[in-house]
Order: sequence, then structure tokens, then C-alpha cells
Amino acid sequence: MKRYTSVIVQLAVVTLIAVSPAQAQPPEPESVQGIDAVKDTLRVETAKRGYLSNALDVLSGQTAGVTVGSNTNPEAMLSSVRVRGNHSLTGGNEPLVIVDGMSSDLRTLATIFPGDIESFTILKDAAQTAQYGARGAAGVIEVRTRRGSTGKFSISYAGDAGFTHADKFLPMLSADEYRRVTAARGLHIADEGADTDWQRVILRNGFVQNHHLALGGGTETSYYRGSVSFSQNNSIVKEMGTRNFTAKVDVTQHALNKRLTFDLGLFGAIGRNQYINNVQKLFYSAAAFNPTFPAERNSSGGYDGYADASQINNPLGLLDIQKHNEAMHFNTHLSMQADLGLGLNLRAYGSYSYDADEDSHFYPTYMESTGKVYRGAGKSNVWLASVQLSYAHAWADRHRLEASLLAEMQGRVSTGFHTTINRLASDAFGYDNLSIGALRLWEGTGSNWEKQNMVSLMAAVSYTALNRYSIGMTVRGDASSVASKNHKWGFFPSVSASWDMKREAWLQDTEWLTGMKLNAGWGLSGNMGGIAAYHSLMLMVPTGIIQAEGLPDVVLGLTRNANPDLTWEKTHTANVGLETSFWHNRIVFTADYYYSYIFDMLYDYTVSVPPFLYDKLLANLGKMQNQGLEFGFGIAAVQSKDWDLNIGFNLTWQQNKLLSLNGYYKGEYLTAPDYTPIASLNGAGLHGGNTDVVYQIPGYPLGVFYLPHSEGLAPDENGDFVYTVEDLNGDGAIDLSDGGDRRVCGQATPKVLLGSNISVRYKQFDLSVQLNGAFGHKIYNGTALSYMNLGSLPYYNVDRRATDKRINDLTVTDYWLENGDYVNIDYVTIGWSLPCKPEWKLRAFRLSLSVNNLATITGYSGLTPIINSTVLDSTLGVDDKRSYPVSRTYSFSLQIQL
Amino acid sequence: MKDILNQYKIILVLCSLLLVPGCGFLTEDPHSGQPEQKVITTAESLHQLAVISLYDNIGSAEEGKGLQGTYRGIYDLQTFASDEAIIPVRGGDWLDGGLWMDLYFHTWQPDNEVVANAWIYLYQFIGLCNRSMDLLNTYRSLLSAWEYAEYTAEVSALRALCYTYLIDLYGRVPIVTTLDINVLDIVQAERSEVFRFIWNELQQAYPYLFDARSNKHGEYYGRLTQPVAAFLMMKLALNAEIWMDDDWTDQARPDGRTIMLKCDERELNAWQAVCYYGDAVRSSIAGYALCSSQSDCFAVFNEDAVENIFTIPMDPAVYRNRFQNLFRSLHYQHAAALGYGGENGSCATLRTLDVFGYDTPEEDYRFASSFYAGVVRINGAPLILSNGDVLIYQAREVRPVLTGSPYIATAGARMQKYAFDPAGIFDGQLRNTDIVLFRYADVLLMEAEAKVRMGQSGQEEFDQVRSREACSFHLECIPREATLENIYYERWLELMWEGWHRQDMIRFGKYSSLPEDNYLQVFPIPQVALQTNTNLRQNKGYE
Repeated sequence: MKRYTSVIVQLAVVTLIAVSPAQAQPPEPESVQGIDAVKDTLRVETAKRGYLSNALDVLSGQTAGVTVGSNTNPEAMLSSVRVRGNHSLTGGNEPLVIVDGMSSDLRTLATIFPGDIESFTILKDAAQTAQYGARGAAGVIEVRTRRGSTGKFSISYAGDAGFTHADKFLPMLSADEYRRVTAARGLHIADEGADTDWQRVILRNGFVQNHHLALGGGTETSYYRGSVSFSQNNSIVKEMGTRNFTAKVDVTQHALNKRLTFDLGLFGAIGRNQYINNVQKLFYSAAAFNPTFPAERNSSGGYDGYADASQINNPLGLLDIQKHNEAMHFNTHLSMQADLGLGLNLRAYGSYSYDADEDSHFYPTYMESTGKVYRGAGKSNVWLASVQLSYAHAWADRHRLEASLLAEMQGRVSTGFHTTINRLASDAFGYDNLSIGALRLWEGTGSNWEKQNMVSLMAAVSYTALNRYSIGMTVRGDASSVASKNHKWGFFPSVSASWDMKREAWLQDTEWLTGMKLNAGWGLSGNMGGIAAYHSLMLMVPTGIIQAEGLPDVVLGLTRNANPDLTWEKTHTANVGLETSFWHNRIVFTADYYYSYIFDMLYDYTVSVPPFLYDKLLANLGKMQNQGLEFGFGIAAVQSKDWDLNIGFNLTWQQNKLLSLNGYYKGEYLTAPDYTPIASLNGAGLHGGNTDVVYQIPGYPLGVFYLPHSEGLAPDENGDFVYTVEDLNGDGAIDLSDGGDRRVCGQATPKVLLGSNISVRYKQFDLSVQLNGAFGHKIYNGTALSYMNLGSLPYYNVDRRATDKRINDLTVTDYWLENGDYVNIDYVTIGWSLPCKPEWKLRAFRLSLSVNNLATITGYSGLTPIINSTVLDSTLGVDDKRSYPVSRTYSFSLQIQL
Repeated sequence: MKDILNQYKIILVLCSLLLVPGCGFLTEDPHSGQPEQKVITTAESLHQLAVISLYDNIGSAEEGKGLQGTYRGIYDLQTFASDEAIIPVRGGDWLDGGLWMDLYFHTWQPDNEVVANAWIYLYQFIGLCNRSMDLLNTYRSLLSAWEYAEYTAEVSALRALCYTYLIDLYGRVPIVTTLDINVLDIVQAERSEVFRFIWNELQQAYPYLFDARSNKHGEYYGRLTQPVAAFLMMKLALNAEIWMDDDWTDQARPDGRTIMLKCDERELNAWQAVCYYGDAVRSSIAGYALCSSQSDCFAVFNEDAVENIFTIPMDPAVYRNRFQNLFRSLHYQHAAALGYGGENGSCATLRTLDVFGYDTPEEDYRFASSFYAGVVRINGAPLILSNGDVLIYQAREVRPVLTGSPYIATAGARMQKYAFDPAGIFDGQLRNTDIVLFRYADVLLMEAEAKVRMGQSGQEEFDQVRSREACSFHLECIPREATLENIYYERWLELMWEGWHRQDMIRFGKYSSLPEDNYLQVFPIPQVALQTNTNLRQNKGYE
């Protein structure tokens, strides 16, 4: 049933065919370029896309219900993809990624060159996610990579290059203004005599480039494709950036009159990343560090800090901290497909992946007391073997029966080790010689080994009657080694049905209606993301070191309470959907509604010590719900020889509600606190106390703002201003703590998401614009709270506007809670395609120019409203001194095919 | 067709291979963690796991854990709820939601974080002791009868140490001696009942403990040996009037002379018991004496200090235990000049300055070694701040809230006492100086106090401490009579920054100025404990 409701994003960055769609491929009569409404899939061609930093970028704004975080912070982006919101409190919110049948993850997906990807299929409906059983609840992204096809030899090159320029900064006081303002307030400053704009000092013009070379060819019975790619993204922040190299080979061989097909694929990627050690600290320091300090090294080769400003440091010194990562990924898979006759088909599949990761961190002595070097390496080996037997039978031209059986085994072994050294004799060695450190602390060295095995069985059957009534059923059984002894197996059934109304007699003659289909489904799926291996066992691990019997001795201990009943989280999902198209697919409209009920949700409960040894216990007691409406709309407004105009957009309304976290565990009633902070502010003057902003409160969506209310500013005794705080509970006293004078005042996650693409073609020229938007959520402008506080002077620089408002207060109230609505022009691309003649050697040639992140339309007063509004972590909904200066990327791209 | 049949066979074989993966495939196979039965194979490994491992809990690297050295745990309750020291609010620094002010002004609530931390830490430690008892019983066959007796004695003495802190801090607490118990069966015992339990446990354990130095490198380094247990019993007996009092909110308290405690084979009253175990410490073959100078106890390498009885072993190259007390006190630039980090926090109260006679002709000689005050000098030269000013700790400018004060960053005399260790790392939190928990000067002062309370003279013990050898060179060392009042102040002068002052204030009746505030002598049962165990009843006054 998958293809009836899935949304496929087809990529054509270097598609040989799609390079010049108007010429190279005559349009199919039923299709519309750009928004191709073939059956129930939305195909978005990305030849006209702007610069892509990695494959995850492709998903941004393309399909309803899928969100991808901002791509300014490459590290954060790797974990930011969400399908239909959040599904868990403890982890397991990332969708399952399946690359060519092999379970994978977002990190690996990001290493695949976009041009090597044929399609993304986002599975989010009940029946689809249930097919992935215990791992499907957070949605599934199926990725199909490009492989060869029959035809003569061809070779293609696609490349782009460009630069990134930052042009929006925070208006902090310049050195002279800082001197004047502090003097006026009678404050002594440390004046080093310079005039440094730290925000600009740490930046450069970023440089980006992608190169991709693919070749392929073959005969009717055997064909191949191979490709190599290189990508580089030098961030606007000095020293930081990522590089990625990939190689991929696929071979297909048919045998026995095509009754037997073998597919062999090899893929390898090596990425080198230079990350910012602490994003918040860097941008906080760049904004607030003393502007009279010179932007140069001191006589001993380091950078002078400013000890009084203990929360920040010399921004250039922070750039000297190295946080490097090198990741290697290798995958090979082999499949054999046999047509056994009688409608039976057998597929045997085996895959093996090897991942190696090495992290190298260096903290110079002038940035961390006595200096520190960390080296760590992790490896994982994953293998998968599956056998699938499927049967298809059609009769009387109107009936069709399909059935399949799947058995699958998967094993994963992950290992790692790391070591840390302290007391460096010199900063000159970086992380390249661990002998430079005098101290190797016990806790700085360790290694681990972990195994996770899974066995799955699945049966699926679907029946279509009279070409229009379909019903499908699947049941999947999953067993995992990480589930506790008593809960090894889980069963995940689903049912779905669809009705192709267009084929009914009473609609068949309706000319203007091209297609109309109704579908519905229900399914149960699971989520294993919250459980790690061995969580249900009481294991002894080294926990410390002491001296016993005169010698140092390592201590073994436990680290947590074990819950022998631990099991996966489960989700019931039901959905209904309508797919329509009009006037030969000139207009396409789809609508889906889903409701999901998550139960056995994991939460780390506070339990009584005694009798428990530790005060936290992970248990399956929570309940949560998600519901949403998703619309897709596409119109081919103009279709002529010279002109095309296509407009597509998708709109998502989503709502989440944490229902309950209470329940009984072994007779003990476990309950979560009424108010649990998710995100807080930090920085100078914001340590502990009532600085929590975003909360998890049962009865509300995950991530609501729960804040004291301020009506505005009031003068204090020194002639400055403070935030007024309302006595919300009317008890005559102000209580800023949880349960006191606070109220829920908005949510951090958007209620409505918009993605829209407009493309225009005039002869060989084309223009494509992507707009993304988010609405109905709020952002806490913690950056303003900090930088508008004159009390931060003289140690921390402040916003120029602070001198007008004269606020001297850091009380966290809703004063700085703002609407987060925005529309972002994600990219604009202008291209020109050479009209190649069939007799030419040159099959396609295209040039294009793109601007990424052209503009953002918003009422939000901070640097940018594009912050983390999705991922449940300590940054959710809070703009707190960590936003990158706003930048645009200008790039030029070239595509050639011979 | 035959081919196809053969293919079916292949399918069947493949399927059955997948379907019968055997139980092993789905069984957890841990490598980097191990179940206890794999680790406990010999008497040594059992000893290591069940007894030695527990010592990892005395000090800590984690906030709220450890008897001393980290933030927001027992030491902070004992110190900042007394009038000995304060962490003033310095603008945004140390505001921390009013945490430190609540301790200083005694306005804490049951949801106070530090109150909860100490409870969880102590009961976690007790739980680990109970688990050790279970292990020693389960694997008893590995041990000789004597080993079993020794090991269980040491574990129960450690558990008694935890309970001692619990009755001191919380009064009525549950006595739990096994892991195998349902929360529904955990109820509080009266304070006197807990006291009796602790005393009995220590009495039973004492003969099986080693008579050895605990503060010295070697087999018993950091361990709970006989002198440590004797010291602990002195503390119990000295505070028996308080800790045997089941209603500390009324004005009455039991009389130490009538509280009878079993000491080995004898029945002694509380004050006699203090002296009895004072003698035990003195007669230990370990040989305790006062160091020639107090600062020897806190020297960089203090393992050989003959005065120290129980310490948290420290060594930056080996242990994880943190010592954050200095780190959080010193001004940023002062600490930076020493090669440390600083958090510009804790300092002496005005009351402490008075007691030490700061900046008067009678200034106690221990002031200079206990505090940094006035101009800060590094290698003799005044320390210049980045704004050009000289760093001067304005000892007398300390106020609970310094926001808006010109001395916001510099007010208050800062902690010293512990020697500067140039080898310290992690901002000086990892260092060589062992953290001193129990020392002999306290033994003498406890004896002096017990004798005076019995109506005898404690002058000899009192003078030993007050006029230790080094004192003869100090003019400020004016002899005092060993009255209760003078003993109280002598304890303050001698034991400043050592986490005893709250206990002393309570015992000397100086903790609450108003009788109706007597309930503050114990902290509330933490909110989180009440929420997770509905059997527990809140302490009087906090309901």
C-alpha cells in the first residue's frame, strides 16, 4: 500500500534526463513539470534547487509534515529532521532512515551526495510506519540511490561553487561607545586601547563547492553506474567547515532471461568536519567580549582572556579550540531477485555497513587550565540479511491480490575508545602527539562494546477489487536483544483501505476531474530510540578510582536503577486522506488527517531513595497524542511552448499534547513533576534560579512557554528600569518559581508549517523560488534579555539600544516572548539550459546562479527567527546568544552530460 | 520445473535459518559492563567490590555528592546555614534563585535543592552499603569467618557514618538496612531511635575495625578505621542531647549526664563517652597528636600530618574527588593569577570577622591562615586588576546582597586555610591536599567541652589547642579560660571552613534566636522524598 500514500521527493540534481527537461524528455501527457502529479506522489525536481549543503537539505520544505533544522549549524542539523513532530520524551524522535534497504541514520544520509540519490520516500501514515514495526513510530525515510540503467555510455559532471557572506549582526556598542557608556555610569573598565568588532573578527567569507562526476552504461542484461563526489563547505566562521568525499558503484546483472536479477552496490564516504566547540559561547563572546581588547595574539602566542567576564572568553581564543571529526562510512549490499513464475517472486538481500568515527579535540593552555587534548574513536559494524517472498496475481482484469512474507535479521556491534590528556607542555603540538600531556586522568580514558540484534518477521496482504476498492493488512513481529527479557517480541499490525472514486461509473465521465481517491488506515508501530543496550540489566561498570591497600584501585559499581520490564514505546496511528487532480493534472490537491496516540512512552521518573539506589528510573508509563492536517497543492498555471509556470505548496497543521506521565510501577505510583523545564537561559547573571523558559507540562503540547507576566518597565531607585511582574495568582506576593506567578503563554513548536515552490520557464531560461514558513509559535528572545541589560556592564558589552531603554534587570518574564512567525526565501535559482540536439555528442548543458537564504520576512526582533523550534533539547524555542550572524550563499553551478 | 523446486528448497532453508536464530541471538551480551557474578570470583574481588568500592562515595566529582568538596551538598548545609560564612549575591552572580540567601537567612523550603541533594546522596550511599551487605551474604562462602566479620563491620560502620549525617540534618529518618524492601514499608524512626541504631552499629563494628591511621598512604588510606569510628562516636555522644531529643521544637532537651551509652563493656553517660573515645583515639597505635602548626594539617602534602584522622584522599593524577571550596571563593583574577579558576563567591561573615578580631590588636593568629583579606599579593606584589585597580578584599563590606555596591566583586574575606598547590588542575579543583574531615584538634576540643559539661575542667585540652607550639610566637594568642562560651569560640577559630559550625551553634543554643524557630534545627524532609514515599511525614514546623 506504500505507494498510494507516500510522498516521494525525486531528485534530479544531475539527472541525466532532467537536466533539461523541456528538451531532453518530451513531457508525458499527464504530467506537469515541476509538480509532477503522477498518481499520488509529489515529485519535486531539484535541478533548479539552490546550493545544497548535504542530502538533508533536500528535504527542507518539500513535503508536508517533515521539518529540517536550519543548515547554518552543520552539527545540529544532523539530528534535526522530524517527521510529524515529536514522538518521545527520551529520544527516538529521529526518523528511521533506510538506504537501499539497509537501516541507517541521518548522519550517514547526510554523507550521500544529493546527486546520487534517486528518491526519498517519507513514510508517515499508519500502515506504512507499522511495516517498520518497533522502529517505525517516528516516521521512516526510505532512500533509494541511483543505479545504472540500460543504454549507451554516458558521463556527466555537475558542480557548483560559491561564497557565503554574513550581513546581519547584533548592534553591540563599539569600543568608543563602550568607553562612553561605562564612564557615564561611573564604571571602571579594563581598557586595552583597541577598537575591535568581535562579531566580524571571527568571521570570513565562507566558500562552498560541490563536484560530482558520474558515469554509466551497459547492455540490456548488465549495466553499471559509478560516481565520485567532493563537497566542501568553509563556514563563515573562521577555521570551521566540512569536507566530504564519496565514491559509489552499482552493478546490475540479469540472468536466465531476466528471471534472475543481481544488484551489487558499493558506497564509501569520508567526511572531515571542523566544528565550533561551543556555539553559544563563541557567539556570546563575539557579541559581549570587551571591545577595547585587541584582536591579536599576546606576546606568549595565546589570547588574553578577561577573567571578570567569567562566562565568555576571547573569541579568537575560542576559535583556537579544535573540535575535529573524521567519519568514514562504507556499505556494500547484494540482492538477488528471482521470478519463480506463478506470480511468485523471491528476493534475498544482504548488506554490510562499517562506520568509523574519530574525534580529535584540542584545548590550548590559554583557553583551558593547563590545556587538554581528547582523542576518541568509534566503530560500528552492521549486517542485515533478509528474505522476502512475494506473490501477485491479477485476474479478470479487475482484481488483484498481492501477498508477501519477509524474514529479516540484523546485528550491530559498536565499539569505541577514547583518551584525554591534561597539563600540556606546549600548545604547538595540537592533538597530534598525546605524549605532550603530563596527566592522563583515570576518567579521561575508556572504551566500550555494545551489541544489538534484531529479528523481524512480516506478512502483508493486499487485495484490490474492481480496480477501485483496495484493502491491505500487514503484521510485523520484531524482537530485539535490547528489550527486556519479558518483552522480547512485539507485534505491530496495520490495516489500510483505499477507494479510487474516479473509476466509479458516476465519475468516469467527469472530464475536469482527472483523479480522486480516498484512503484510510490504522496501524500500531513502535519506537526503540529511548532504550539502549543493557538498559534492563544490572551491570557492574568501573565507576571510580580510590586507593586501597596502598595502590590505586578501580571501583566497580552500578550507575542506574535497572527496570526489568523496559519495553519499546508504542504508537497507534489512524489517518484518512484524499487525493484529487483536475484538468489532466494541471491542478493537484491532496489532504491528509492523522491522529496518533503514543503509549508506553518512556520517561525518567524520580523514584524514592531508598529503596532505589538511584533517584531515576526509566519506565514505560507516559501517554501523548499527535494530530495534524496536511495539504498539498500544485498548479501548472501556464503550460506553453515558451512559457511554464508552476506553483506548488504544502501546508501542515500539527498539534501535540502530552497526555499523562503517571502510572504504577510495582505498586508504586510514579508521577512526573507538574512542571519540567526543557530549555533555560544561561550566561552571566542567569545561573540557576528562575531562568527556565520552555517546559513540559502534562495537558499541554511538549515545549510550552511558562513564564511570569510583565506589563512593561518600571523605574528602579537608581533611575534605571526593571521589568514589572504581575501577581498572577493574586496572593499579594511575587513568586517567580514554578507553580507561582507563572502562566502558559504559547508554544515553541510551530502550529503551521508552509513549504512552497514557484518555478517559471521562459524558453531556455528558468527561475525557481522556494519559500518556507512557520507560524503559530513563539520565540523567547533571551539574547535581547541579556544584551539589553545595562547591569552586565562593565564586564560584558551590551546592545546599543540598551542605553535608550536603560533596563537593569535580568528577570525572566514574558517581556521578551515574541511571535516566531516567518516566511523565509530559502533559495532563488536562475538557470539556462542549452537546447541540445539529438545528434550532438553533448546531451545536456546547464548553467545556473543561486542565492540561498535570500531574505526572511518576520516580525521577530532578534537576528533570525530560524532557531531550533523542533528538537526537544535545551535550546528549544529559546534564542539565547547562540544564533549565527545571518548570511546568504551565492553560488554558480554547471551541469554537463555527454 | 525441477529447478524451481530446488529453488523452493533453498527458500525453505533460508527461511528456517532466519526463523530459528536460537535464543542466543536475542540475549543481551554485555562486554563493557558485567553482571556481579562474573566479577565476584574470589575473596579479594568480593572485598574489592563490596567494601573498598564504597569509599568512592566519601568524596565526589559530582555536584551535591560527597561529604565535602563539591557544591550544593552536605558541606554547604553545614556551612552556609551557619553564621560562619556566606555566599553573597553579587549582581547576577550567585543569585541562583535565592538558594544561598535561603541558607543564610534560614528561609529554606522543602523543595530546596541542597536539602534534596544531601538526602539522596546519603540514602544512595546507604543503599550501596546495604547492597554490599547483600553481596557479602550471598558470596559468604568465599570468605573466612573472620574476613566476613571484618568486612561487614566496615560496611556497617560506613552506613552508620551516613546515618550520623542524616540525624544531624533531618532528625526523623527511616532506618533501612536492606535493599530488598518495598517503598510502602519504609517509614521514619524517631530521632533517638536512629541514634541508638547508629550507636549499636558502631559498637558492634568497632572491635573488628583496624586500629590504623586512615589519613596516611598505605593499606588503610581513606578507610574507616578504629580511630575514625571513635571520633564518630565522640561526635554522637557530644551531640547526644540534641540527637536523642525526639521533639527539638520544645524548650526541653535530655541531659547528657543521664543519657547512658554502652561503650565496649561499660555503660557511660554521654560526656563520659566523649572522653572514653577521646582516650581511645589517643591510645591508638596510630599515634595522634597536634601538628606543630595548624597549617600543617592543610599543607599540599598532608598525608603525614599526625593530627588528621579522616580525610578524603586527593591526588590530581589519580582521584576524581573535587575540592571546589577554594575555587568558588576566590576572585576571578586572584584565582587566575594563581593559575586556577575562581568563581568569586563565598566569604567570611561579619560575625566571623568579629570572632577572629579581624584588624584589631587582638586578631587571632589563625585569621591570616584561614582567610585572604585586604590587599591581595602574589609573590609579594599587589595584584592589579584589569581595570587598573589593586585587588583588595574588603572584608567588612560583605552584605547578603552586594548588587549595586561598589564592592560587588571584592567584598568579603575569602577562604584560604588550604595551602596553594601549584600542581592543581581543573581550576585547582583537582589537587594534592587531602580534604580534612576529622582531626585531632577537634578531639581535644570535644573532650574539653564534655568535661566542662560534666562539671570538670577542660582547660588542659583547651590550652593544647589554643596554645599549640606555634602559638608561643604569636602575641595575639591570649590565654582564655575553658568556659563553654570560650570553647564555642575556640571551635569557631580552630575549625573555620571545616563544616562543623552549624552543629556547634545548635549544641550551644545559638542557632535560632527565637524559641519558635527551633524547628529550623533540622532541615525539612525533601519535597522529592515526600512525593515519592507517601509514608514519610514532614518535620515539625515545615508542614
